[in-house]
Amino acid sequence: MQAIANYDQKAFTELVTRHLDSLFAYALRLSGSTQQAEDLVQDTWLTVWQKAFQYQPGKVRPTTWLHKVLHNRYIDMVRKKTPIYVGQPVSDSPYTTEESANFEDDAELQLRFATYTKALQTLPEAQRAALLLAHVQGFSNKEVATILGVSVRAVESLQARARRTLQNADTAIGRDLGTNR
Amino acid sequence: MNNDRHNDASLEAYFQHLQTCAPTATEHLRQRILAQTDETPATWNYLITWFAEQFFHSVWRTAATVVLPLALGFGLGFTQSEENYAVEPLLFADSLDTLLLGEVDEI
Repeated sequence: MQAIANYDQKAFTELVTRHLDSLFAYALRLSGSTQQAEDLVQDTWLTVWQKAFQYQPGKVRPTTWLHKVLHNRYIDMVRKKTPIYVGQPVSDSPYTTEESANFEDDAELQLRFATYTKALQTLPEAQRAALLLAHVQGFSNKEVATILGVSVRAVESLQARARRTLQNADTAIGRDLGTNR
Repeated sequence: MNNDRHNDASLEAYFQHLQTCAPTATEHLRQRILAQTDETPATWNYLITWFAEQFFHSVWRTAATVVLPLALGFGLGFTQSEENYAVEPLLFADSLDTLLLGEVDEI
């Protein structure tokens, strides 16, 4: 990161190679649209290139800082009222089609996961981010708190509410499946 | 209770599925990102940032070392001079009385 602060293109390329996929996956699940995720990620890396000197080594991991930059860019995007994808039919979603390839034979599981994905997209941004960062991106709650700029307690509360929403969606699916049997 | 536990397990399986089947960025996006660094010459960018930083630092330094003490000095100066104006007429009046009384006594 120090090298990038001095505009070392080789170091930048290495960092991009190491973290691009992780950032893209998070951006895609956060925004729900491939185009917005790509814009978000590109904007994030431009910020990293220009403001790498703001990174304080030893305070947070580089990946935490990168996710924080991306999250801030996302908040800017939401505030600018760029239309954010919500409620796009699950079958058209760019990642559910790719991800559903592994369990095509299990219709119930497919339906359940599709329901989760749909419910995830209807969650408020902060709840969705708190859940994705901890359970999918693998950050600790302390790191999630740093990325979102809130307290650890607030993160736990956001996650609990998000989980409840997803569980309720799952219960509804269970009910539907029960009645269909 | 059982239903809750089942929901939890199912949710955990979903998260695990998201972890293992994470979407990947395209090569086109990677190239687009890397190309951004070519658009602005690194040296110029570095110099601009450096000057901007120095400028803001000097603005703060000037504010802290020159403007603030000056403003404080002026503020105190005005307060004191107001006090002087308030005292001076009294002194003048006292000396006038003494002068007048003295004159009366003499008469």
